[in-house]
Amino acid sequence: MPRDLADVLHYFLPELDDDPQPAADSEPGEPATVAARDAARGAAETAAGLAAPIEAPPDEPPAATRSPRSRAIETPPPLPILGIPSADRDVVRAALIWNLAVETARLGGRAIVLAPAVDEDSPLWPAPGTGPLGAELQLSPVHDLAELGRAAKALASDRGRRTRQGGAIFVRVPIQWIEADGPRSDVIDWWLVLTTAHRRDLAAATELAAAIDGRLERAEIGATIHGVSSIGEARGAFEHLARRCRDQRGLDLRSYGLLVDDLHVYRAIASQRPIGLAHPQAPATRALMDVASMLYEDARSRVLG
Amino acid sequence: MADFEWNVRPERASLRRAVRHALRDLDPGLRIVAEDFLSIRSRMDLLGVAEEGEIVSVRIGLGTSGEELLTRALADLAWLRPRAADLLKLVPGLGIEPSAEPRALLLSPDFDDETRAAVENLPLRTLELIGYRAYRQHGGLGVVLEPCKPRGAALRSPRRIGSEPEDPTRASRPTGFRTGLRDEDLRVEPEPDPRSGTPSSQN
Repeated sequence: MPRDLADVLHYFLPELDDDPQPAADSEPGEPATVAARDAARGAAETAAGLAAPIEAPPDEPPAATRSPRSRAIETPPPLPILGIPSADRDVVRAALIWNLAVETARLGGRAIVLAPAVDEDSPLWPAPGTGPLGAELQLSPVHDLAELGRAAKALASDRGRRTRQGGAIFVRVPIQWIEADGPRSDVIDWWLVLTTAHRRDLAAATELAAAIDGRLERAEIGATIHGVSSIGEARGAFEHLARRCRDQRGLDLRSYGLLVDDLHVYRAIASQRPIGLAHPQAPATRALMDVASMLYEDARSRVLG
Repeated sequence: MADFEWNVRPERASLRRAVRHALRDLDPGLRIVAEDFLSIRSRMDLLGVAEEGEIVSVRIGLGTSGEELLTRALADLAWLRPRAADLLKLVPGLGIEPSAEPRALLLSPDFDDETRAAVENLPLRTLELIGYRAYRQHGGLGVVLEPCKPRGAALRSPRRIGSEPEDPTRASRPTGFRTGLRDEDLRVEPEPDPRSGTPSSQN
């Protein structure tokens, strides 16, 4: 859906958070940052000749200068939701998901991992709540894909309202929920498949992408190759996977780089510490940062677009 | 099925993403900051800020005539010009230079002679025409960009692309795989040996 420039500029507005001069017409109790933003936006609109007279609702204070655009700025769109299929006991993929969230937070985005509550007693995750760099883990008592999607949307709306920097909701989706019979839905339309470069795993990833495409409407699917030791190995694996997806299902697969399963990953899993904090110079950390950057950039594009 | 296919019919969103990535090579100083922005009545496909702080509108023709693209791009320039200072005030981090004239990039598979001639009336770089060809390889959509050479002016593109599409069998062919890493980034740095303090050969 097209957006007006003024409706999305708040994604680039961190500098105004420190503006010490809130607008004179701000409402009592209104955050200074919003007031300053409205003032600046109002100035922009006035200068641009765009401001249209808007009648204030009867129950609002006399903020006649406020326009619908200012309200749009006060209520940012929901965060994009990224579904990541993972088996219930897949510790490695869970660790990669959590660490991608931490790296997204390091880039400045809001990053929340949402997982079914069935994970509560498993060793997949750290303790729920806010973790390193503000990355969050939320467990939700859901029982199927539709419920998980609704929980993700609610979380995306709630966290989207609280952030001006963008980010993403990373949802661990049990693979059996995708493969289960059910009506097609659009609860999650952005997916990331994590696969190794082994032929058997690539075949399974192809089936998984096909299952996602069969179950979810308008699904955009990306893939990250993990467990590789060279870029050439990852490139070859992705090209193989993308070719299979296109030939067999007509799917356009998007590349989200590669991840490394080096010793640091397993050490970090064992200690439940983010790899990027425990081993900031490790290849695994560099790769995580690279993939997180691509996801964060695409998340911003999805909101803006 | 062939791995490489020309003459694909991309959807606009995919094409926009492919162009966004291809522009990184063509104009490394251009930072795309937004997609699908409403201008006066229609949407700019991409909005960027270039090296000198000028705002750049990018319009991609997909079944659109050259005249229509040209009109919209000229309207974008008029729409952006009075907003540069306001955008700078709102978004200082983007590096917008309010005194810099906005520019526009028009992308189309082909431009007719009238469109090319019309653009030559404008100051250099105000409005640039770039031809594109979309291809699909290994499931990914990509584009080859070819700046249209104005009469009497040299190409300013840092990467000159021939009028014929590149041979897809060449080793440098584009790929859908993306990474910002190099093989050196994947090498494990030897950890110090706690006994001697020198890097260990293990690991």
